[in-house]
Amino acid sequence: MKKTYKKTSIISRCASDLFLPLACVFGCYVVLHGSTSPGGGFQGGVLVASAILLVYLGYGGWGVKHSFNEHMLHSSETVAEIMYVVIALVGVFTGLNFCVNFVFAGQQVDTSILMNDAVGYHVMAGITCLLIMMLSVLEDDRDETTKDKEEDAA
Amino acid sequence: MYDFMYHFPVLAIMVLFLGAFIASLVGRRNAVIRNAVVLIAMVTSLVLILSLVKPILLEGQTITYWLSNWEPVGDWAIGISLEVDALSLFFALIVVVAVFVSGVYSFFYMDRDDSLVNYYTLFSMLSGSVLGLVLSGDLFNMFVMIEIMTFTAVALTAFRNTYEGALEGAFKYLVVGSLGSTSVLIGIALIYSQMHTLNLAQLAAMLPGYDSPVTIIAFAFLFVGFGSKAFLFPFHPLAADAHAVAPASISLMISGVLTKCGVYGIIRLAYTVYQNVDVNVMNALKSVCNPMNANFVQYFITGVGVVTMFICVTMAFNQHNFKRLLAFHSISQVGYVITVIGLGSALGLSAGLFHAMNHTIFKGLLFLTAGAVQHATGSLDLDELGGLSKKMPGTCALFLIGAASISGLPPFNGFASKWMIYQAAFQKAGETGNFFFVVVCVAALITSVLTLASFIKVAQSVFFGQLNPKFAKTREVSLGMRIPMWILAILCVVTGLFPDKVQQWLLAPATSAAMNAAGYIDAAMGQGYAASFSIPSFQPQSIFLSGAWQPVMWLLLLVSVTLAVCIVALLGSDDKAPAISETNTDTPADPKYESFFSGEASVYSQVGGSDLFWGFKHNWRHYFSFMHNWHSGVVNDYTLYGAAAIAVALVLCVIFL
Repeated sequence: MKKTYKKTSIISRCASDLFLPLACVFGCYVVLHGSTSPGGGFQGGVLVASAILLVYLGYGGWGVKHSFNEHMLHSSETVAEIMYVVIALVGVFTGLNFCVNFVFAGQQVDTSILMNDAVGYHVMAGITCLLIMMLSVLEDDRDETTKDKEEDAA
Repeated sequence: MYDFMYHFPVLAIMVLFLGAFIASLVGRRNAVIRNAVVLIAMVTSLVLILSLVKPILLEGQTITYWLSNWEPVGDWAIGISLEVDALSLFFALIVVVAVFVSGVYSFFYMDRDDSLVNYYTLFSMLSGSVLGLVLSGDLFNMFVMIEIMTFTAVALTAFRNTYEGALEGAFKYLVVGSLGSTSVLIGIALIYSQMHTLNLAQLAAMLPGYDSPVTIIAFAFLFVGFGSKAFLFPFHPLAADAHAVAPASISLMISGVLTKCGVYGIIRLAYTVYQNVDVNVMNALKSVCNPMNANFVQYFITGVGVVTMFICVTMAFNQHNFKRLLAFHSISQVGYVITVIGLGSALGLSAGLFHAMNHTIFKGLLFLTAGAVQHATGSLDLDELGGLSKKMPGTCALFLIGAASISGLPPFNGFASKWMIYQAAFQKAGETGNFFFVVVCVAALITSVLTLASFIKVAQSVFFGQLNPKFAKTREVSLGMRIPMWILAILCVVTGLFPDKVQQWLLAPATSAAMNAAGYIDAAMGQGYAASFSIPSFQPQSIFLSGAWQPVMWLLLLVSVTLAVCIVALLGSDDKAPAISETNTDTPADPKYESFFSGEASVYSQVGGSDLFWGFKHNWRHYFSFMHNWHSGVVNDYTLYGAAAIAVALVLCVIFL
């Protein structure tokens, strides 16, 4: 790995490593239990998306740029939207109404759990895209010394 | 009606949203697939809505669709519903036709822009949200759709962000449009706090008998909110700034479809939910002794409409940008619609609906011709353009049809609906004996005359007069752009020639649906629910037209006069619009322009269309200088006007209701 970025302090890197999985797991937990407990797709999705801030704090803009594919995230956002509409439309094609509960009919769990997942996926991808956009306008964190070297070489 | 047709409204909305998402996913690389997806979505939604015409408009049924089958339990409608009666379907028809035309036009019109995937995604979402708004049976869903509509429209206004003022216009629209949306939200919150339901049908049953100042305040907030979406009087400067910079296909959407949402909201609010427009003739007669109190809502809505139509048409006189001028006329025509909606008679409401439909058709046509001129010449400046009738004869003919329609010349559709508007105002004046409605009638006539004058100015500035040498190489726009314009032009003529058929098939069902609050409630909540709240059952009013005219005879007259003019023009010489070369040195010396005899000939002088009515403008200079200061272009000022509108509406409603 070419170490051309300004290293952040070891404390923030360790903290980032420690809390990153926690944030992701907790966010996914909130999404998956959205239909039965407080929270839901939106809140859980935002929690997962906030993991990008941990990556930024630990590894800087360089880390964010190398670990996320913005184009892929954008496509995932659209896929999640289509998923939501299709899940809702299945109700129509099973002969019932739009948005209707078609799996496990009559039980506690229903299509709202699937819709919650789609919303969570959508919000996760969308907020991550937004955060990447916002972080990319922050100042460049490349190492000053290497920058000078490059300029000298040029 | 077949059972599966109950799904058509929700499918028509969702297919547009689905089209938006799929276009965004697959359309980033391949333009053909993207256009195909958008086209399929538009056509599907058009077909789905058209197939509902027979059961709903002609047979008078009402579709109530509960999402997820959450039907009312114990007379409480908590689930989300779509309720499609003839009024909703009437507006849905306007929406899908306008979306189809605008979409097909933009395939060819936007061919020089990049990142079109964003354009089509936003465009489909805008279409879907507008359709959702008019089909919704739930007040909060209407708000959600208004928000989607406002934000996509803002983004599309700023789509050509290289234009001067594009971001500025979009920013103004965003800030002041959000003020309107917030006003709607406050109204909804107040209603929910009192009524504990947001279903339109249940509100319609409970609100009229519920005497509380909170719901009256909510009415004021909702009215201003929907009015801001129709760009009524204090909100009109936004429309001009947004239209001038938006692509022409989006101008069609904003003027033809978004303003109709505001109109639909006001009709639904005043006629169905609050039922505070006095539709009963006996009450109207009774209230002569105390006109201010009983019929306040009528005076309020009509007054706002009259002010809007008059101020906007005078503002249009001073415009030098083609689309800014059209924007002010657009709001002026919406003012007509609002004026007659406030009259509260069946004739007035059907005249308003007819004019709303016609406004979408002819204003869409005019915006598309403006877009064609812009596409061909790259300019919208009225002082710069001129003499394009030789270069773009097809567009010129289409423009003349649109201009004749909007100015109310027979036999086009503008005359048919304006004729009904004059009669509605006149009959109302006769019934109530109130001088106010006489003023309304005269103001409507004067506005129509001023509209005609203003369009003479545009025709002179853009299509006739001298050709600017800069545009000597202008070519006619492609066939793909002309076909959508011809569709609208044919609709202009057809609805103008057969107003009685339009009246019978579209307007009469929609009018009785708007006035039939009891039917609307019973369709959603079950038979007898309205009667339990003592909502009076619907008594159809006969629509009586006091004047008669023969559209076909007028068409024959028009054709014969046009033929005569053409023959005279053909007999004459063919140099009506010569391009004047920049350097006149080759031509032999003309004694008329001898330097030391009569002064030098100017290089290029256009007889500016804006100079045609200099006398009028001179006489009205004090008014215009006042309006000049008023339209400051500062977003703070416009927000202040919006806040002032809310305040005035609140004060008036609290005092008089």
